Formats: sequence, C-alpha cells, structure tokens
Amino acid sequence: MSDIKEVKEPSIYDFRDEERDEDFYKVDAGLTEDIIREISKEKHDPEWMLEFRLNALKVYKEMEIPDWGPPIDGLDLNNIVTYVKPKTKMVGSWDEVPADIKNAFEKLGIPQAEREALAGVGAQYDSEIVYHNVKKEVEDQGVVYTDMESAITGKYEQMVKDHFMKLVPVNDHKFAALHGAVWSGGSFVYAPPGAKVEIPLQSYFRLNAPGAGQFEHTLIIVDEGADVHFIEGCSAPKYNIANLHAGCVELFVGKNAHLRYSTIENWSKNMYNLNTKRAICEEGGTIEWISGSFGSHVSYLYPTSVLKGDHSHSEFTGVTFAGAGQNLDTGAKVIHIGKHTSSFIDTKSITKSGGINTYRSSVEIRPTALYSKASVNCGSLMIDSESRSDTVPAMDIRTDTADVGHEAKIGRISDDAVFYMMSRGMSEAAAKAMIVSGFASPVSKELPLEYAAEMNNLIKLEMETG
Amino acid sequence: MSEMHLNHLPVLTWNKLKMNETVAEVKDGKEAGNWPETAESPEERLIACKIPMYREQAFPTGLGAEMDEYLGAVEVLEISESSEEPVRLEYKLEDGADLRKAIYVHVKKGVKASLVQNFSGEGKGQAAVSVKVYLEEDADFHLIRIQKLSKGYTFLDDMGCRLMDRAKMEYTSVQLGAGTVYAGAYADQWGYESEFRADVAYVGEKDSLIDFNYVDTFRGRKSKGVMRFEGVLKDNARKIMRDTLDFRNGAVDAEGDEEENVLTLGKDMVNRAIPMILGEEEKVSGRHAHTSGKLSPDMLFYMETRGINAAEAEKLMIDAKLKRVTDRIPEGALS
Repeated sequence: MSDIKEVKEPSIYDFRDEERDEDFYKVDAGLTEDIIREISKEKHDPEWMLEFRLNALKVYKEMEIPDWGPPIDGLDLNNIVTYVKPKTKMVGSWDEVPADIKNAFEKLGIPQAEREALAGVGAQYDSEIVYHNVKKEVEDQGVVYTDMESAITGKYEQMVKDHFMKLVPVNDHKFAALHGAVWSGGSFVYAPPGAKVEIPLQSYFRLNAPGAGQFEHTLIIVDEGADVHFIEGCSAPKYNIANLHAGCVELFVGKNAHLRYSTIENWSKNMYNLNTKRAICEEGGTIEWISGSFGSHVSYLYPTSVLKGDHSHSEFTGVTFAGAGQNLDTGAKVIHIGKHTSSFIDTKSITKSGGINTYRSSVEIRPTALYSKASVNCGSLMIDSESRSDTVPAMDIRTDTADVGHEAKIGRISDDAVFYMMSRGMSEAAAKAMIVSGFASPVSKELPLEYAAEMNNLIKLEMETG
Repeated sequence: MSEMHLNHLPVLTWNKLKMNETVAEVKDGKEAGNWPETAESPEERLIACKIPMYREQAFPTGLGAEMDEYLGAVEVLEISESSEEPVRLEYKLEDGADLRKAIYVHVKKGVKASLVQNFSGEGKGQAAVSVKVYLEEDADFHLIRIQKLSKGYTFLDDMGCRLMDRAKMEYTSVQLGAGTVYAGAYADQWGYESEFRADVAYVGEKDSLIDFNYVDTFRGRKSKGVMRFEGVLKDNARKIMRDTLDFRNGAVDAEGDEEENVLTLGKDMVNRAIPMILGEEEKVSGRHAHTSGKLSPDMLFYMETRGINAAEAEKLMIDAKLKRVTDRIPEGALS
C-alpha cells in the first residue's frame, strides 16, 4: 500500500544552484536586433540562420499576443534574458561536465537513468546542451542523435535547413516567431530507413537562471519503416520572477515509420510555458504523444498531428495537473488530410487548490480525408470548488465518410471510494492520491517504468502540496 | 443589410477556427426592446480566459445582446393559471416578410403551461423571434417551436429562460426549412432542483447554413439539464453547433448532459461542433457526447435484404431522427 508520506521530502526538482556570473555568458535582457546578432555570433550560425532569426524577429514584432487563452500579462520580454550559456563546451562524458552542473543532473537522476534505461541522452543547462552521448548499438544502426548546433554546422546542415521551422512556420503564432529569433539548444535525431531504436532516447532540459528564457529546438526525422521512442523531460527551480519556455518540437514521421514522443514536464511555478509541438506523418506513419504536464505558472501546449499520408495514425494520451497558482491550457490538435487516417485523443485533467485547467482541442477532417476516423475522450477531476476546469473541444468535419466520436466528463472523487479505502486503513490524503493516480493511469502505463514511477510521485506530491 | 454579432461562445478558443461568434447579415432597422426587469444579474466571477468579447445581457439569450436592440416592442404574456391546452402562435409569412417578435413570458408560481410557435412562409424573407421565459418557483413550461420556412428565408431563432426553485422548462425545436438559421438558447438555472431540457432536430440541405449556440448555466443546487440534438446534413449544407454546460460555483450536485448525433449524407457538407463543459464547482456531474457519421454499409445491406433501397433507407433514418425529437411534443399541440 502506498502512502503519501513517501513524498513529504522536498521535491527533487526544487533545488537551486547559485550561478556565479563568471561561469556564464549572458546577453542583455530584452529583444533587439543587436541581441539576435549577438546570439547568432555566439552560436557560430551559418549566414542563412542569422537571416532566418532576423526575419523571425520582424514577424514577432508584427504579431499580436493571443487573446483567447490564459493571461500572460505577467510576462515582460524586456525582463527576459534570452540566452544564458554555461562556460563549458558540450562533452560526451559526465566526468567532463563542470561539477555544479553535473550535480544538478545527478539530483535529477539523469546519469543513472542513462545507465539503466536509455539509448542516448542529451542534457541542456540554460541555453546550451552540456552533455550528449549515444550508445554504440544505436549509432551502429546509423541513427544520428546530436545537439542542434552540431547538426546545423555539420554534415546534416542541408537536412536541417530543409526541415527547420517548416512544420511550425514563424508566422504560426507570436511565440513561434520568438522561438525562431532566439532559439538555442535542443536535439536533432535522424533515424534512417528501417532503424529500430528499442530503448528510448532522452533529452533533459534544465533552466536554472532566474529571469531567463529557454528556447530549445527539437527536430526528429524518422525515415521509412524506422521506429523511435524519444523522451523529453524538463524542470527548473522556482524564483519570484517570471521565466519563459518557448521551445519548438518538429517531428517528421516517414512512410510506415513510428515515433513515440513522451514528455514529463515539471517546470517551476513561475514559468510561462508557451511551447509548440507538431508532427507530420506520411503514408502509414504513426505518431504517439504521451504527455504529463505538472509544472509552470501558465501553459499553452497543444501537440499537433498532421496526418498527411493515407492510413497514417496519431494517438495522444495526456494528463495535466493544475494546483495553486497554475493556469494550464493544454490539449491536442489533429488535422486529417490523407484517406483512411485515424486519430485517438485521451486526456485527463486534475485540478485542485485554486488551479485552473483548460482542455482545448481541435479535430479537423479535410474533404480529402475520406473514410477517416477520430475519437476524443476527455475526463476532468475536480478536487475542490476553489478550482476551475473547462473542456473546449472543437471539431470540423468536411467529408460525410468520416466517423467521429467525442465524449467528455467532469466529476469529482467519489466519497464512497474514499470511505472504502479509509476503512482499509489508508489516510484520506493517501486514498485520494491513489484514486488520482488511477485516474491518470492511461498515461503512466504508456511510460517506461522509471518514468511512470516519477509521474506517480509527482501526483502524490501535488496532492499533498497543491 | 446590417451586421449583427451573435452566438458568442461563453469562453473563447483559437480565432483561426472562426467559432467564437458569428457575424450575420440581417435586414436594416434596429429598435431596442422594452424587456421587463426580472431580477438583478448575478455578479459574475471573473475567470481567466473568460474574456468578455460581447456586452453582458441582463437576461441572457443564446443569440445574445444585439437581439435585444433589434426586435422592438416586447409583448408580455403573464400566465397565472395552469392549462393543458397550449397557447398557439401561428406565423404564416408572405414573400418579402420581415417579421420581428419579442415575447416575454412570465409563468407564475406552480403554474403549468405551454406555448407553440409555428413558422411557415413562401418566397424570401426574414423572421426574427426572441422569447424570454421567467419561471417562478414550481412553474412548468414547455416551449415548442417548429420552423418550416422556405429556403429563401433567414431565421433568427432566440430563446432565454430563467428558472427559480423546482421550476421546469422544456424546449423542443424543429428546424426543417429556411436557408439560413441562427438559433440560440440560454437556460439560466438559478433555482434549487430546477430542470431544463432541450430537444432539437434539424435537417440541412442544399447550401443551407445552420448556426447554433445553446448554453445551460447551472447555479442552483441539484439543478439538472439535458440537451439533445439530432441532425441531418445533406448536399453541401453547413452547420456549426456550440453547446455548453456551465457549472457555476454553488451548483452542488448539479447534473448536466448534452449529446449531438449527426447523420452526414452530403459529400460536401460541413459539420462543425464545439461542445463545452465549464466547471467551477467540484461536486457536479457533466457529460457530453458527439457522434458524426453516415449510414453504415452493414445497415444499408441489411435494409436491402429487406427490400428497402438506399434512398428509402436514408429517408427512414431521417424520419427516425426527427421522431426522437417530435415525440417530445404532446399530442394535439400541433393540431
């Protein structure tokens, strides 16, 4: 029997490492052309990338802040430092990582996870990747897993150029444009035809600097018939000033390829998480999203699947937990274009202690998507009446041959279930935590064991602390 | 022609979806109505992402505040005695019609009554109607609205109701004609154990547009609401359904249920829907479901083995869908 006391220890994510200025290179706060040029120079961008950044900055200045979602007026870009670089180069051995940074990742359990369960790891600290390694058996299959900077200046430059922000164009929304202007760090994966990466690759993003932004770019190309599982983790210590995360994930799933993209997000509760994730599937391709959102002050997060090829398929399984001071606006989008495409969305949201949860989605079935099928299920659990939980699902169906089903429920923890568990010796808090873990099990059961355990611990922690 | 902003979503979503509201073209000439005052508007709890994009309406309706300023003089109907016989209002419109009707119905404590509105018309024209129903404690009211206007009509079909303790409101709406329909309903369930039920049937064909906004707001403890929509979309008909269950703070043990089933029979039809549940009360139960699809090949095959061809099977299915709603209309109400 699990007991909530297990998580009364401080959260493993809350530790804070004081950064000494001399160990880091920072640009000034704010967003100007000079800052963009400085970032580009510092990163040794090719010329086309500098032009790309400057164009994105122009688009950013022309676009409006979204008027339909949670308020983000506490975020002032003039106070955000968009680039913070540790004065260390990327290495392939934890022993070569500076002690304080290594210590941070040790506390997060990344080196241990790498030894036990991962095929490759990238670790980003503030704006740059500080560690990258991939197992030999993965490399032997021709799989490329490296940091974006190496990819963009190395032999994969043309491949990156052909795909970079093609799926998420800079004019998609204001924060996509911001990302295009100041992006730094992130991972590049290329799986050649037929490659099977049986154990996951992982990137972990840690934002330690107060008042900073993290803008990593993840680009994954899974070629015909290949199969990859990629895990993304992120966390930050809490400060009294706003931090910003505006990452971008672009996933290209080739013919009959399969990609599973799992995320456990636990940003600190001063973070504005304005992230964009999108996948496009060719014929017979499958994208699976597994998403756990626990942290941040405000989130806008809607992983999007574009089912371009006939018989392509997407699944989205997500859980979002909003506690005190959090306004999490999450969900998914699917665009069916090819014939016989299919999609499945299953989400759970849990809200307590004055938190606000919005499940927002759209399923679009274009006239070309003949004989497509879509199913959406969303469940909301309210733990108290100080909180708020909304479901805002949209459907746009433009062929009469499509079959679409949608179901949503909102409810509370059953008093009878809590009473029954308490009669078996559990405390009320432990009983509720167990019920919530069960409610979120569609997500945890899709994760590797270590990550499922981490997610359940996060739920217990949130249930205890809100 | 003038523009009217109507059918606003209670909370906004992506502007790109073009679902947040509708801008309709309506005949010129606005005249504010003298709607009776019923009660103070509740002080709305300011919530994140509920950005007021339209003016508040003291007694809300589905189409929204601009209808209050369009229809002119308001007829007041006070119902103090129960009657099994419905009040019948027939609107037979001629080519070029511009009908505007605003009716305020006050159903007194414990009274049971019903009102039938029947719209038919030839040629082209516009019919705009708004009915607001105030139901005192234990009142029981059934509003039945049948629309069989010809395709040349634009129909603005508006309803709002406010339910006090144990009041019951049933709304049955059948949309069979009019090339352009804007239909909205708003139930404001203030009362303890109040009950609201809406049953709506619609058939869209050719290039018709049907634009819905139905909202059920739960404020009273143990309030219950059900909204059912049965629709058929043929040819290149377009439909958007906004239907919302809104559980406000204090609506302890409230239960809400909404469901839409759409039979899609036109390869160029457009079926859009945004069924929302908004919750700021923990101890509630809300559910919504939406299905959209065509007749299954298995069913068609079964029908054919019984000597029923595809066209006849289609007609049978349409009739069956309409019947699920028309069955709610009491016998004799349409005679």
